[in-house]
Amino acid sequence: MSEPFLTFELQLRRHGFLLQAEGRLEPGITALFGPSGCGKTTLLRCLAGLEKASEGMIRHDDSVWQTPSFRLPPHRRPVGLVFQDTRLFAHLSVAQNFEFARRRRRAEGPDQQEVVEVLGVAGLLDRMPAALSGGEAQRVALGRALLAGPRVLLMDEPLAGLDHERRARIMPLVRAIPERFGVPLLYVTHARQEVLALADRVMLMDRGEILAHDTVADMFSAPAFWPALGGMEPTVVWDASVVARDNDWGLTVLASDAGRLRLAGISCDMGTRLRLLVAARDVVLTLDPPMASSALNGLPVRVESLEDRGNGLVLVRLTAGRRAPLWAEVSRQSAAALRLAPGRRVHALIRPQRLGGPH
Amino acid sequence: MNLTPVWISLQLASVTVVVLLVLGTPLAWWLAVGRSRWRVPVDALVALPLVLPPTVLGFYMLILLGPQGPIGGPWLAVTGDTLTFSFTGLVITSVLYSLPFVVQPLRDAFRGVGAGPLEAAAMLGARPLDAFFSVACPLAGRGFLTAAVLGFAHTLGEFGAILMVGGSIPGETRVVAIAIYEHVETLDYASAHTLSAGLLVFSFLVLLAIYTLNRRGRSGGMV
Repeated sequence: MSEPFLTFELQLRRHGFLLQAEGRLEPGITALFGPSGCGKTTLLRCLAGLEKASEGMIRHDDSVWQTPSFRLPPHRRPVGLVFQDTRLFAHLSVAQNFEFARRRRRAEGPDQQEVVEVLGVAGLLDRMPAALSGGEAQRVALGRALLAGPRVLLMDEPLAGLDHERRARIMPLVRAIPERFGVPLLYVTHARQEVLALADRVMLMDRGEILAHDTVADMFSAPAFWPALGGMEPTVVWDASVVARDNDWGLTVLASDAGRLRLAGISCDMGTRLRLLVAARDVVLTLDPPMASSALNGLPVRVESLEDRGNGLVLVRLTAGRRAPLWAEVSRQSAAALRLAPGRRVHALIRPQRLGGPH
Repeated sequence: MNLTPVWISLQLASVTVVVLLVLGTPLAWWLAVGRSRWRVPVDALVALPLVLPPTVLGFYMLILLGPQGPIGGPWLAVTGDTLTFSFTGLVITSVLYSLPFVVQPLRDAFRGVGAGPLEAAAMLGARPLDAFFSVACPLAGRGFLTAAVLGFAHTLGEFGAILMVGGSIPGETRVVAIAIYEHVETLDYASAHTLSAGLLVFSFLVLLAIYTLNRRGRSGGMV
């Protein structure tokens, strides 16, 4: 089954600010990432139909939401928007907030029982919104949006006001939505950690424009985007899946573009997709395959290029496996000792960090 | 003592409040969220009865509603009745006289609700009118209560405009405030006392009720 896509080409001019965004929302979770004030929320509101001054085109599947001469009003667009400030109806209980959405749904929507279960809000149904904590209110707002039966779900920094612990509890719920409820998710955030933990793809936004749109792995591994991603240290992101378990040592074996990797301290079902982050400073290069080392993973790699970073450091671009990029930060002395040069094959000892929940 | 004036006052205040809530709600909504350039002048116009001497309002109403007036004339032709010196004429006058006391709390309550909940309702598939009735109005509930109570109390206390438009026809236009005036004129201080004290206590209780409610929950219109 091919999922319908949301494509848009929008302009909005307001008080010296110009939004000019063009893109296509793919299945899964797309993070709309950029600094505060770059127009992320405005773009979301344009897609939802809440910005009446927006111009351009929005198409979903084979229906048209907006053209230069036509605009589908917000209440007729099969789109859900989870606001940063939740906007639960203060005069209705949680159950009544759900009921409000369910009675007005524009298309088939999920079963209330399922939504309540997935989001863990069964104990909150009788409460009034004023009696909910920030995290509870966000879960309820998410449930209410799902119950309206949206075909596209937009989320505007839903975790921005929450502490670390609550965030960590809600993220897996958000992560599960596209698959569980069959809706693509456009997720606004300016927190890099949320992008890495949640998203399949990133739309990078700055000053009202979408600068780039790519998978998280490709975008975070590309030096060109490090400044825009918030001054990233040289890093790569690999998506991997669990292919075996080594029960003798309690290790999980992952398959990735870089080759097979072994990780301790996680327990995941076979087939689970994980996201790994390898920082350049967590990569050690050696000439020979490691005999004994506390680093679990040694990979044969090929040197692609070297860049002198000044202050005695060299950034080495490598390829692991067939096509996985990898960066290593080594001293200029080590680079000379290893005689690093493009085309040279060496071994990399790496310490991957696991990011977020299952991917 | 004849209690008919009390009955007429209560009737007049009730009818006036109902009419004002029906007409005032859309007006207040428009004043709260509208973007027309006419919004400010209309806002000022609504507030006019607050500062105008009741006799000025009464004088113009007398002209408008009189048998030769632009409203009273056609009314007479259609219904065969005059609007001046009639209960209907009093209702029309009271609606204008108490307009700000109903529209302003409603306007402020709607402003307090803001666009947020309505946008949220639209995102859940609610049409604008649906969102207005199922979200904006309940959230402005306290404003409705304040508006109704203030409109009612203020209509009860009306004197000057009513005297000019309605005169003092027993059983038709003689309301409490006018009955008190006439009791004093005829030196029947005992009856004047009873009615005055009644009105005084009633008005105090009404205001006390509003302030108590507004203190308890801080949403909706303030007085």
